[in-house]
Amino acid sequence: MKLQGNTDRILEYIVSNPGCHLRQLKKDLGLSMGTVQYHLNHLEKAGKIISDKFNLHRCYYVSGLFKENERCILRILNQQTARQLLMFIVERKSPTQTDIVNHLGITAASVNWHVKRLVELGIISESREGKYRRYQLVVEPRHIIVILKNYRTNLWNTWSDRLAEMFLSLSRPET
Amino acid sequence: MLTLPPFIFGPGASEIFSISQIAIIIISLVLLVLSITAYQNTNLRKVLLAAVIFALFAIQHIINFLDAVVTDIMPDDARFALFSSITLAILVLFFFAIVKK
Repeated sequence: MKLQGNTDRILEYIVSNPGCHLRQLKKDLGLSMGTVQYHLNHLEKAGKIISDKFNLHRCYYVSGLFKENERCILRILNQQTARQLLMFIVERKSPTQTDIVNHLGITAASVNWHVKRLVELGIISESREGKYRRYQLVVEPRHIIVILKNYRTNLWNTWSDRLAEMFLSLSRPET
Repeated sequence: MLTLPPFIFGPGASEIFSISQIAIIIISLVLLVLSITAYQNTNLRKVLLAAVIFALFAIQHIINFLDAVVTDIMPDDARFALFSSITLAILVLFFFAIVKK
């Protein structure tokens, strides 16, 4: 009964947070790594979820809901710096690398690393304008906004999650 | 029917009491709605306990505020008994949330 409960919780979390990864599930649901892995394997074998590897993380999605390019966007939206970079490109349309560096407050090398990944995923493209490199969206900005609106948690949900975590931390976490 | 408040406040104390009571009520109601959202998201009983605790806290202070500032809704002895009973219930629920696996 308890196992079924954890499976359902993990599935519900993946439905609400597509593109989430193992550590994120472990941290947010207060479960042990082994428990999360066990239930993820169970769900994947049952065909309820699918996963793909992205950099260091394996990301999880509900089966049949997302196309390949949507999964790419979700993976990006789940990472703070990459998300900020993508949203800056959505906002500015065609910023230079210097604009991005100034806006995000991170090094040019980091920006370079992130934009390279976005270019490889086919989400943005790079063009040269004299000595400057500019970046544009390949996908429709509206498409990104819709995904962001539907699948990123809002401030209220973030607060409610924190409240739940705080309350759960009063006692020993269930494993 | 409106009647006089049971307490005579000193200068400035009434305003401080009213403002702090209203702030307590608003914040506890926000926390109540947040905990209900958290319960809907997680389905965890312990989070539901949090919602009950914040609801009791809000009720306690709404009664206190209404009785002291707006209208005398119950005799003082009944209000004191109710106030301490709700405080006890809040503490018991907190204790229950901590010790229960």
